[in-house]
Parts: sequence; C-alpha cells; structure tokens
Amino acid sequence: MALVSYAVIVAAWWAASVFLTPDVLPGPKAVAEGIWGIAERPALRQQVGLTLARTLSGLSAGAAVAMIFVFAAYYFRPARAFFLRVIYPVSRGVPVIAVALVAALWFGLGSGGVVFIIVVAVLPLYLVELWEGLKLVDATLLEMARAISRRERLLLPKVILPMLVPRFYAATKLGFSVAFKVALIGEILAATNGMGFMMNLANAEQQFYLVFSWTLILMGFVLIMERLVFDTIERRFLVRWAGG
Amino acid sequence: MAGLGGIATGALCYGMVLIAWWVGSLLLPPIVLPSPAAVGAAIDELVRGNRFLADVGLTFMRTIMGVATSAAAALAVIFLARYVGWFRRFYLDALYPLSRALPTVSVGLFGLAWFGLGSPAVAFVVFITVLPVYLTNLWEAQKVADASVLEMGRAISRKQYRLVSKVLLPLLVPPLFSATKFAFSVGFKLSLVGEILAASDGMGYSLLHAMQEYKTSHVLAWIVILIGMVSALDWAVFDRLERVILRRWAFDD
Repeated sequence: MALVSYAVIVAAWWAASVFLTPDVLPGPKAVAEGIWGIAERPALRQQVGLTLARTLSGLSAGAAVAMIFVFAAYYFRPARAFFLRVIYPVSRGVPVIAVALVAALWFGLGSGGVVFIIVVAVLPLYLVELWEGLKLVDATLLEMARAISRRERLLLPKVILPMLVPRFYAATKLGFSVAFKVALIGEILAATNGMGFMMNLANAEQQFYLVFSWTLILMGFVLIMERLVFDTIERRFLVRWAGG
Repeated sequence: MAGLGGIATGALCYGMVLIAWWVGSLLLPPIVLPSPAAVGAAIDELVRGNRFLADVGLTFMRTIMGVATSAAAALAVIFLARYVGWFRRFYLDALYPLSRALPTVSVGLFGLAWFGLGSPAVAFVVFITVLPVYLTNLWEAQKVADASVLEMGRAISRKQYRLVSKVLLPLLVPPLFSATKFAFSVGFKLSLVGEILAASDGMGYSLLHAMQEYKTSHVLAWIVILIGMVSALDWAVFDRLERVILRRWAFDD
C-alpha cells in the first residue's frame, strides 16, 4: 500500500517536471541519476558517512551531557537551582543557527563545530524528556525498593535508570532526525565537507537536480532509521515497559 | 521558589554565568569570546541601529506568515485524512513521514530556487518545516476526540457539517493552540535559517553579516537578543492568550 502512495508522488512529480524547467523542478530521472552518481563515487559516498558519523557523535555527546546535567540537578540542590533557572530555559531558547555561526569561529571549519551544533540542538530534547521523567519516577516504587533493600546506591541502577529508559529512547528517536537535519546546517556554515556542504555546493554550481539527490538520500536514511532501527528496537526491547 | 528568595536565586545563578563568562573572556582572545561588556555594548549598538526594528519586524512577519499558512494547510490535510479513506492511507504512508524527514536546508534551497531571495522564500521554509508539528498534534487530537461528546452531538443533530463546526473543531482548539505555541518558537528560529539561505534582510541575514565581518560580539549579542525575544514572547503573549482563550476548555478540578 505504501508503495502505491510513493508511486503517486513520483508520478505527480514527473508530470509537474514535464511542464517546468529543470532549474525549477528537475525530473525524477535526472535526480535518480544524480543519486546513482553519488553512490558510484567513493569520494561522494564518504560524505554520507561523514555526516552520519557527525550526527551519531553529536547525538551521543548531547545525551551524555544531558544525563550529567539532569542527575546533578536531581541529587544536588545548588545544581538544581542553576539547572532550572539557567540551563533548562536557556538551552531551549538558543537559536541553533546563531550557534552554528559562533561554532565556526570557535572550532574552525570541520567536524568539531558540526558536532558542537548538534549537541546544542539535541540537548533540550534530552533535558526535557529526562527531567520530566525523573520528576515522575514513581514514588511508591521508590518506597517499595527502599523497603526491600536499604542500600540507597542500588536505587539508581535498579529503579531510577530503568524507569528512564522509555524517555531516553523517545528523545533519541526524535533527536536522530533533528540531529541529521542540523548536521546539514552545520556543514553549510562550519565545514568544508559532508552532505550539507555538498548540497550547498551543488546549489552554487546551479546543479539543482543534485540538491534533490542529496535531499532524497538524507530522507531515505531518516526513514530507514525510523522504520527499521527504531521501530525494531521498540518492538523487541521496549516491550518490557509497555503499559498494561 | 517564587518571591524574593526565588528572584535572589535567579540573580545569583545568572551572576555566576556572567562571572564565568568574564573570566573566560580574559583568558581567550576577543574574536573567540568577547567580554560581557563588549557584548552589552554590541546589544546597545544593534538595538539603537536604524535597521533593528525593520529586521525584527521582517523576521516576525515571515514567521507569522509561515506558521499561519502551515496551520491552515495542516487543518485541511487532517480533515481530508479523517473523512476520505484513500487520502488517509496516502497521508499516513507517505505525506506524514516525508514531511518529517525533509531537511530544513533543502527546503531553504528549494525556496530560494522557487521564490528567489525574499520574504516568500523564508515564509516557505517556515511553512514546510513547522507542518509536521501541526500534523502530529492535530492528528493525535482528532483520533482521541471525545467519542461520547461526538455521539451526543450526533444525537442532537444529524447534520454532519454542524458536528464538525460545533463539536470537532472546538475540540481541536487546545491542541491547535499548543501546536502554535511550539510552532512559533521553532518557526522563529527557522526563519533565521531561511534568511541566511534565501534573503538579504531580516535578523538571520544580519546575524550572517556580523559573522562574515568576524564580529563575534555582535553574533553573541544577536543570540542574547533572540533568547530574550523567544522567552518574552512565551511569557507575554502565549501564556496570557492561553489564560484568556483557553479558559472555556479548562477542567473544573
């Protein structure tokens, strides 16, 4: 069924491209050839790998930083005030594009700046999910755990962390597509390689069909990750957390 | 946390940030980290500049245009998907996942190619990229639209269009509002991306201009101004609107 829907889109795209010039709407054939050209050349394939590597590094670094902030705020009162008044609201208000510009100045052109931008972009997602999750950690469960064992240090690995897993997962799922898109912005402003840079280059060289090709490759990655990776994880491993 | 103690804690926290920033600026060159005083002076210079109000106005107008068209389009799509079987499949299989996967940069470049430099291209970027926010919120809301209220509506009148206008649409107002609140803060930031790629004015373009001249203090000044604007908007506009408009929908606890 999904195939029919996509076929309808391609047919409509093809019909529109017949009436419009290639610099306004290149046809599916030209774009497919562009994708094939990218897949054929190792140097171009590398750009996809580079963007993916930056995305994954930024996402994991963002998750790690958020965990540190959130647990510091959970366990230490002075850190909590600082977290709630500064880090939490400011991280949500920071415009990613402005950070991208500063990152180019701070890190120079390259992976460091791009990863930094991704960290800034995904940080609020993790902070919101994990903090709201920690606030809701079931008080009765904690009490029950305390009745079973007096060892406070067991609470974190046995009760609190497992309860945060679905939240963490939700943030990662959303974070991945955000990070991938932000990587492109970062690569236009703060790098000289990667898919974002190549897309901008294609545009500057007036090869509009290649902008479409890079876009479709990226969308394909996002959709495949969502359908194959995240949905499989959800079905296989998150069943334990499914509500009654 | 509220009251004088709360204000003091807040002031203390931001004071610490300022001190850390100031110490950092002593150790690093101004092009990497300008001092708080330099950024303060840059904010003052920007706010007094003759382009400031025009830039702010343009970016706001583009954001509002994009968000409003997006809300209207999403409502139309959601209603079509709710009532027309084949369109629902098309929406769930292709339209919705594709709208979520489309990267902002591509939309910016498409906007540039289709509309040229200027407001329509920037509004287009906002329109396309906030669409999934509305689609997600409205689709989930219409799915759980209170079945008993709808049934009661049906018992009172058999006219389908009245059921939509008197029951379903009002039920969708709170999710539409919360989506707009979120879409506006996202859209505002996306306008900046759009302006960098496809405009020659507005706050995004001024930001890029500051960066191209290596005026780090001005780039940081824009960041501070933007954070302030988004927070002020949340607090002054949306929180108040929420209290006034959504009162009818509030639960009596």
